[in-house]
Amino acid sequence: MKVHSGNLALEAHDVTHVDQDPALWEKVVRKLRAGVMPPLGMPRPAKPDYDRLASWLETELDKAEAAHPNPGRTEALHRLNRAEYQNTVRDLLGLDIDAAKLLPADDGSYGFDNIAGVLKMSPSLMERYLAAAGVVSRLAVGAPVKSPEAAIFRISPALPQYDHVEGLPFGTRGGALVKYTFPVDAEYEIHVELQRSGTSGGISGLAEAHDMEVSIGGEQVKLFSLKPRGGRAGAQAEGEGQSKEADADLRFRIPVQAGPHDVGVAFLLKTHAEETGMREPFRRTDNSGGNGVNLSQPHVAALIITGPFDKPGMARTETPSRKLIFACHPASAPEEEPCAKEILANLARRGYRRPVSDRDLAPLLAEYKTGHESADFESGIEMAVRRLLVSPEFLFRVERDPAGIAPQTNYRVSDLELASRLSFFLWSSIPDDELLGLATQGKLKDPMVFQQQARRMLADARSQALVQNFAGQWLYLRNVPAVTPNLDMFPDFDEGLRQDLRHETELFFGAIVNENRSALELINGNFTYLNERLARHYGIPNIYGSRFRRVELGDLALVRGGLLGQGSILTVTSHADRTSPVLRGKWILENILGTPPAPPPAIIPPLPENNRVGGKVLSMRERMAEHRSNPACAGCHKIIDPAGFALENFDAVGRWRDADNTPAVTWVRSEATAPIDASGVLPDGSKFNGPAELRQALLSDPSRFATTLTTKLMTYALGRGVEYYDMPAVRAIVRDAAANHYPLQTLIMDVAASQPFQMRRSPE
Amino acid sequence: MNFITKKALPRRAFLRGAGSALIGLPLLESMIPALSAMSSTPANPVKRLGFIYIPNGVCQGPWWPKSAGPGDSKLELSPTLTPLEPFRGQVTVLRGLAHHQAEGLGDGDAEHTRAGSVWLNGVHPKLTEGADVRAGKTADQIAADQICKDTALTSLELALEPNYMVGNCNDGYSCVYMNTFVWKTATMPLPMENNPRVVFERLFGMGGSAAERLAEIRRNRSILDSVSEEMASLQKSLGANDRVIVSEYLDSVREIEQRIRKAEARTDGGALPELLERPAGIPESFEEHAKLMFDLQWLAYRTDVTRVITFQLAREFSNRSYPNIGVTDGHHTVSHHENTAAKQEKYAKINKYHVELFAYFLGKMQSTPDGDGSLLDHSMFLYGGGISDGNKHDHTNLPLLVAGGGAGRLKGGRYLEYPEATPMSNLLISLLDKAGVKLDKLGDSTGPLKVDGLSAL
Repeated sequence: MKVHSGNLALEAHDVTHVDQDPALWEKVVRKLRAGVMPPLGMPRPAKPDYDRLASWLETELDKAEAAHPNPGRTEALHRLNRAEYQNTVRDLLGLDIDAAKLLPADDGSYGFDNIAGVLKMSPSLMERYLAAAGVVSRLAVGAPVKSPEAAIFRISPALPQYDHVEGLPFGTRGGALVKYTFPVDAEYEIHVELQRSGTSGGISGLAEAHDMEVSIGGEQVKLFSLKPRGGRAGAQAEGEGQSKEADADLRFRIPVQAGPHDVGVAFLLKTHAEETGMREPFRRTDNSGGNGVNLSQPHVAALIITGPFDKPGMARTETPSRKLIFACHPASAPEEEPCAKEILANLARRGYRRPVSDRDLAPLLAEYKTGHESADFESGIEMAVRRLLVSPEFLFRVERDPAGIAPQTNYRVSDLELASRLSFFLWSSIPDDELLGLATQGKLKDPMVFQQQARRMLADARSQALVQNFAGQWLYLRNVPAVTPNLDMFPDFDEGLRQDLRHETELFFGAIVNENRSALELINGNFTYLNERLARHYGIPNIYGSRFRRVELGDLALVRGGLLGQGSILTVTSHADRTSPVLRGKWILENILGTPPAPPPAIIPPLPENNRVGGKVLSMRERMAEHRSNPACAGCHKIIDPAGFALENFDAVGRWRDADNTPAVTWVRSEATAPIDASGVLPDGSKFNGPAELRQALLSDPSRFATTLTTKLMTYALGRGVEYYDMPAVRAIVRDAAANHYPLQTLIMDVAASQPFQMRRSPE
Repeated sequence: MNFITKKALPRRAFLRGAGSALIGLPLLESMIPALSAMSSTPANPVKRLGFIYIPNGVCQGPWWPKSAGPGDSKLELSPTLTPLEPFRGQVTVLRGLAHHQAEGLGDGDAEHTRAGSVWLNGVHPKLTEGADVRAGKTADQIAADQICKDTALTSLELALEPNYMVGNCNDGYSCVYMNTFVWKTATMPLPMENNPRVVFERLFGMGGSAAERLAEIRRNRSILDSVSEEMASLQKSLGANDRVIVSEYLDSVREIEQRIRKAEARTDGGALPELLERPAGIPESFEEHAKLMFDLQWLAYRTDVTRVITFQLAREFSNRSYPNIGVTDGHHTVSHHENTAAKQEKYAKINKYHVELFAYFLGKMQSTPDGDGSLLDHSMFLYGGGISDGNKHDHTNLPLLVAGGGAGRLKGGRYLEYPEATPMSNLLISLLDKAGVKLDKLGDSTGPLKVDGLSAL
């Protein structure tokens, strides 16, 4: 037999001895299953023979692995990444922090940022952990703050505030809602800044009077009346000195109890508000051709909370953190040390994710004593917590080989290590007491107990971490905040829409996990989540208000069903000024079919300069014809581009279109248009026209997508790259889930139950 | 007095200090003598080094100066480089240097990844996404080891773009190769910080009075001492293969301990600023952000907190658009200009804009007195990137220029052309030599630049 593909030259390899080079034959299987081998246009065996070859190879590979199993080895030290640190602080200390303000982002590998091997330590990072530990321990214990500090919450100037913001009281428009942890019981100053014009620095939208309320915990604590500031009626009070300072007085002091509170600011809706039809809804507020903001009504630019300022006589509030930390309160000096020990033993057990010994507690108690000497009992606890937060046992998940084990021996990871593997997989956080308790008793290795725990944890709200961290990276949702569609071409792409796009996909993925729906619905689902803003963007009528709700798509599922109809995916795979069938095709190959294309060659021949040739308007497809006619490009682009072409009916921000009017020069909207041709052929030969048929083609062999998803889940779960020896486990999971149409929870739980997750191999 | 002006730092870039009083700027001024006792004289080697990286190559035509002819190296600034006019006498543009190790060499076409990774070490990065990531110790770190022995920070690594993005790394290479171009050792990449507030806190601490700071420093030292001990016992419980990362951790802890000791010694005089305004976070506007990060570098040099800084003006492969200068297409998109005039024009516009930002920084350095001259006189900056023409992804004829007086050891105002494919690593050796750091070999270097054209001596 003769097999060729790209960089794989297989003639020298003996297909009758697959077990001699399983790494190579796994590559072959992957290419066969994706249908990219042999290349399009080359003679290809009939479909049944082709599939039989792939199946036969898989069976041989599975047999080879069964004869010499290898569960692989994630590195012994696995540093918590930023998201895990944040969640761990939440679960250990009952404290919500924004870790992005304390720690740098982590480097990714294999598409995820929780890969043990590249989560390195360096002096600058260690310094950050040290600083973060100071901030976190102080907030958690509620230690007195020496000097007031200011927290600033800035609102994007690209976020229009003409409509109601979810979470703020009805009858208001615009503003912002922030969650802030007030460090101690004291007085704080709250200051609201209003959006300014870019040119004059004046505050916009003050032609009429407006009322603005500030609320804490949903209760109005202050009402400001903004007076009209001269100027022509309806014009912005730009350039007038007074208006520049119109927000200087929007500040007040108020006593607030320590702990987390929702702080809101919003404008009261005016009864004679402008009619919606009179203004341009959903036009970017910062889009006025570089001339600055042009607002008809005032917008909040920032909410600044400064404090604490002493307020004698306030009762001490027991914050959620203090309740969690202070398991006891010493009534007298002799009680202090035993109490400190109790508190720290409890925190260390949960923070180190295992039972702790006196040896573990000694350094914590030493810090406690130092802190106590310089001030009081609580300062001692604060210092000990700070010490705990930079302990290697806290910052790293440590997996130890059993003592005296021979090299390259497979073994089951300990129950405690398994508990951490499971909780970091499902929650991106530490085990809770129930899981840790079972592991400590050695019961977690029991498959029934393990499965019951996994199910319980998936039902817990903390499993939202899978949406944020797994789906956020797998589907590129993390890039949504950074996309910048061309302002002139997409004047309505504002910050609100950007947030809504991401929210839709997060809710959609979350629903499929929570309801244990078929993973295939990620491709062909017939429901989604929309609010008015997003529904209008999609051209779907009769959805009102800022709240997201589930929408059954019915016939619209042909257009909007599944991830490929969602604006988030369509936008992150587009350029600023046009769609990119290449980026979309590449995204599908990588994330749906599991066969990422090679990077482009060093020298790239040009696309035609613009979309007009001899007066004829060329579509993106026509402009990209070079990709298929130039042999240097065709090998890959024949595979990459077609899936992207099927989505050409979606423009660069995910709206439906029947014609491509991407202009030749971006600042002039083209009058002429080219009709969309959304037909194509997948690498395996399946033909399609438009998104609906693309979905069918992608799911013609549903195990392909299930395999890709399972491989991604496995990478994320293990914190290492998936190797050839893991593939038999992946295939077994996919095979077993096929009968029930691949329920997503089942895939997740089977990954957790798999050999690579449950076992480990000692080093060479 | 030339402290952070309102223009440089719009009001929203900074928080008001406690009690809403804006910072007393003279406070900063008064602390300077205490912090920068070091004065440079022409006889001393250069004391400050900076490396500023631009991604995606440059538009060739407008970048390269006109050749003045054989034997004449007088610099005539090209269109892209005109913002450097005020410093022309201290700017040298180099042509002909190359990073051969950035090429595929059997590792595929990930040109952007390697371009950044190779820039300061001349070492071909290992193709991997696993624990075996490996590049080479970078020139800035080699210099920092020697010239930052007595500064509070060994070095500072800065960037503008976030690195949480997904799908922007070349398959097969860990994202770390693109997120940073600084390696402390061949296996320890240093993260680059893009949040001005964090940079400020690294430079000047978390605030508070001198006494509070000192107390804080002592608390941290006590904690680190105890962490070192714990690490040592953890190390014993692990197999030999797993000890590497523990020792990296241990080294990190020890280095910070040393830094803290230095800081402790300095704080004795209570000379640190008490009410210096700290940045609020990452400004919304790119330009404000870039200038703020340059301001912080200027502040770091000026207060002698460190003498070696690396700065990534944009991440390699960046597709940021610059609507504020009229370029709404992505940077990477226009860098593949396909020899079309419209794209080249935008490409060159971005290149020039970056140079303008650099010139803003040079201006601040030039107008700040230092010893017998200005800060710029006593500094040396390498500005450039690891790709020549973005359309070709080539690593020969790299866009590179050196700015600053190098404490009298750099002669500027020249355009130096080297034989094609001269290793850029040779330039790094020569630059380090100017800083008093002797190095025989770096990456693929073949020796110092043959004719030491940089020399003023």
